[in-house]
Amino acid sequence: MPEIEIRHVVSASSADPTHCAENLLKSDTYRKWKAAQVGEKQLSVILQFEKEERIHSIDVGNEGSAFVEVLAGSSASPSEQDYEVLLVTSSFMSPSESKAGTNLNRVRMFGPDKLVKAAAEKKWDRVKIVCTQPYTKTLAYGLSFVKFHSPPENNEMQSKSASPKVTKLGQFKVKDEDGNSASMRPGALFFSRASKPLLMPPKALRMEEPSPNYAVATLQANTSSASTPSPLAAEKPTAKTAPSPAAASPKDPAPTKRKFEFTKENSVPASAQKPDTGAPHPTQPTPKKPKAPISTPLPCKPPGPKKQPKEPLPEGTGEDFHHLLQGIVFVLSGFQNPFRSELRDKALEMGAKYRPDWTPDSTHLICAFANTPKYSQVKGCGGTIVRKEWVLDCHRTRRCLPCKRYLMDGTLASSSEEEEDSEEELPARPHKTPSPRQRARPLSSNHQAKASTSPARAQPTRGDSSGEETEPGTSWASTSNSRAREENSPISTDSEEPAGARDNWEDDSGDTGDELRRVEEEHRKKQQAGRETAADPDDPYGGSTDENTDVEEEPDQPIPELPDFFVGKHFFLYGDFSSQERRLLIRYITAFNGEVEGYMNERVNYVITAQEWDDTFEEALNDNASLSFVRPRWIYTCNERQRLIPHQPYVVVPRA
Amino acid sequence: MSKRKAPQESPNEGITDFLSELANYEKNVNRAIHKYNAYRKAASVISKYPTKIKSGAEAKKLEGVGTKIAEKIDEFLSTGKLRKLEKIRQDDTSSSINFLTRVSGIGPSAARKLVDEGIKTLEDLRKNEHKLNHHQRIGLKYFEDFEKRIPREEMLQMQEIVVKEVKKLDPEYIATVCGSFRRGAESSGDMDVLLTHPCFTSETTKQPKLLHQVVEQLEKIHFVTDTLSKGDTKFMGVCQLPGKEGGTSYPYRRIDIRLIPKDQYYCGVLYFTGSDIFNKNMRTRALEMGFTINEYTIRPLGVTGVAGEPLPVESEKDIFDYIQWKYREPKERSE
Repeated sequence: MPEIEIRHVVSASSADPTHCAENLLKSDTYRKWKAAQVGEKQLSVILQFEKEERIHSIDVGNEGSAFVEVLAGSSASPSEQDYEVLLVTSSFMSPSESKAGTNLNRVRMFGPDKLVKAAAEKKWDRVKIVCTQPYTKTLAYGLSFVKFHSPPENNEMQSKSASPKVTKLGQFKVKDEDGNSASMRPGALFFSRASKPLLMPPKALRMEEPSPNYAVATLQANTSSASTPSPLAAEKPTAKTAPSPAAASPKDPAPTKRKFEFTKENSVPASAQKPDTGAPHPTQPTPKKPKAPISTPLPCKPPGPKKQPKEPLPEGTGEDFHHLLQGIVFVLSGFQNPFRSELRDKALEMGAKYRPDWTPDSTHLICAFANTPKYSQVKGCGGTIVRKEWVLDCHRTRRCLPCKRYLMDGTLASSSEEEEDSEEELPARPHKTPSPRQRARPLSSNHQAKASTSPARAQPTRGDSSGEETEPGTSWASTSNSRAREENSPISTDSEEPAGARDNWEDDSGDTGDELRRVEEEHRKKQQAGRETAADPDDPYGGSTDENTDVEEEPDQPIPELPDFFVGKHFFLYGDFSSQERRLLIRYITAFNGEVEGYMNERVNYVITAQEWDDTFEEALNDNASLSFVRPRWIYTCNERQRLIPHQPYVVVPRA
Repeated sequence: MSKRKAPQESPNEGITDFLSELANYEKNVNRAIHKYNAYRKAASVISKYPTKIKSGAEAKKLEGVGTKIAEKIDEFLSTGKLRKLEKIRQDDTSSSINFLTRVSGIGPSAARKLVDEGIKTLEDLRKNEHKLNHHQRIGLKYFEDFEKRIPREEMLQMQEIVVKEVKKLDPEYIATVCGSFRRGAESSGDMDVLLTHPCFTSETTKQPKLLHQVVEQLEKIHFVTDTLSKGDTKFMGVCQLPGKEGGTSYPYRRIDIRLIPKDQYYCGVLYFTGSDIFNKNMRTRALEMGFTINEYTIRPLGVTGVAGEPLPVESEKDIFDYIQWKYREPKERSE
């Protein structure tokens, strides 16, 4: 089975400066890809193949992830989202292992029978790997390696079946004795659980923990004198490894450090980060590539900065930025993935802590809409409930904004003075807002001047251009948004509050070019609309209220009177309808003044049913001869035509 | 699942009774399962209400009680009866259908057919046994017994017998009596046994012998007396505790035994232990956490919503751990 060449990393949602995603391209299994932060709930990486290929099997070496999912895509696809699941979410660590930090480096091989058939039959040139670890907040997890294989050629297949299968993992070879390791049962994975060792098939033994063992072997070769007190080293070396220290050692300039890393990582995963970098990364903030161990530059760099949204942060902003929201413990409610994880990642990036559920130490609930269960809960115990814009704005402006203006419970429009005050109390704000002056500023003043004096609330700090590079996608969107708005200033800056709010509202969807264009288009429209409506320059709020929703731009018209052609008619819905359909039917009937009866009774004139004629209809007719059994279509058609149409074409009749 | 839900002592028994009756009417006669569910839900919430309900408006505050049910409660409270129910009761067909469905093996459609043929009472059924299938005949034979609830004391004895016999056959068997009994209920409608063996997993072939030898063993000691149906993985039948010293014998009871692959066993145990409302809540929680649970497996959901591989489960607690929920003992699952 030829291995599929991976050309480069397209993007990674998060990567440690040392354990960067590019490590996945290398064959050394001790080079890993890990999240930049501990406790990230999900991380993903997109890899680009050399050419389009069918994927026949996948080998995954874990590094602390609980679940791994592999999706396949095509770089020619118009949408970034067009990934198909190739390997369904597969388990690598149980919750208890995750919490204890044991068995971090399981290797699983997924043969063709394990892959989603429809996806495995197509050719792909990209894969997206999604790792999750919801069970521990103290681990920066990732993958140690991933390998993809294309389908074997015919002759190869025969020779394979004749001789024992040898799988290359990194530099080591695993001899596969029964050739069936790929179909390892899921239950087999956790055989090592001390409490129930008997129930597991023994063949899982062979697959257990090869990776740490390679590592141990390598280390022992490098520093033969040093002992390796890894807890995992105690387990039997399982795969037949052929360590080649000669090949490994020249590439590893700091063997002792390495050793330290391994033992540390296995026993105290949380603290593994610092010792293993050449220099601790907070003080050395711009390592684009891991420094020491890499001797050869990568063949291809990622194509553009846009594709690498989470590069380590440049000097200055980086350190503060990572501690912006320190001390904040947040809970999310009402958000769906992928946005949910995006939001969470942003907050985590700024040093906040995440809890899946409201805990006594939680400080903020970030809520999509009011009256989610968590909302009520948190409201009950008096936590702060804010909208998502708070996180997004903090992230975008790289400042810890006061959450007062983002409060959920409708205090958005509360006294702005108060808000300004609280803002000024915040030491973290580099630009003080000359807000009174701003509010007093004549509306017709020069836009450009306004832009320069305008507080940076709605725009990223311009001078900090390096800061912008780190998040090019979003900040480009936000700069152009705010630029667009500056040109729009009669609408947007006249009342600061709503403008800021709108900014947020739009920015969070402004990540892609399409969104951006849409937003700009809207701006143009609104600008025109604004000019028309805000003709009176004395009106300081001219046009501003129209901007929030497109719907409101339509002039208020009286709601047209509904026709009442069902008046005096009684309906009964019989049989199974989907709740949606039932609701729709009841709505229409009620809208046209018909009566919906909950039960079959003598007043019913029409039975609406999707079912075929059955005996109960007969009986009902005996009771009430004037009854008509009608298809739901009739109601819909009445609605479409907005008048009563004859029901006869829609009646249900007994089958021959 | 037994045909009769446990009656609950409650200050509002009158209301819950008429709601249950309406529920059964909707299910058996109108075949309107959603109305059945709506009435059941209302009955269940009212049965838990601690004080006597004085008006429909008071009841309407409860979740699951809407305008229509509140109106009915008002009518019931002021007149002591319900016109709708009186009408249903007077209606010979509906009441006969309702009655016949109480026989094990006779569902709404069979009942309707029998009533159409003029068979409306137990006597009619006994005269027309040739029209009944095997299951229905046994249901008829033990009609009175099957209507009786099983006191917990007897359930414990039955459990002891089943577990003992199963272990006698092969100590590796695992047998769990599920249902409300496992949640500590004082009485049960029937007995639901979940059985597994380590050598039977979802990857292996079916092993009906594992089930059948248990059934044969239980027949040998005259615990299982009749078979309603016997498949590769599910046995439905009748059992009876051995007679007391004094000579009086115990009623005949319904018993189900399901053989479940080992890797799916604990999801099955969780599911069949219920309660149904607890199961619903747990599935909701699982979805929030990115998992999907059914009676066979728990699977993680991928970023696109595709369910992943079944996760290894070695105990009920494992399932709680996956969705990061505090483990709840069966007794604590009667929501």
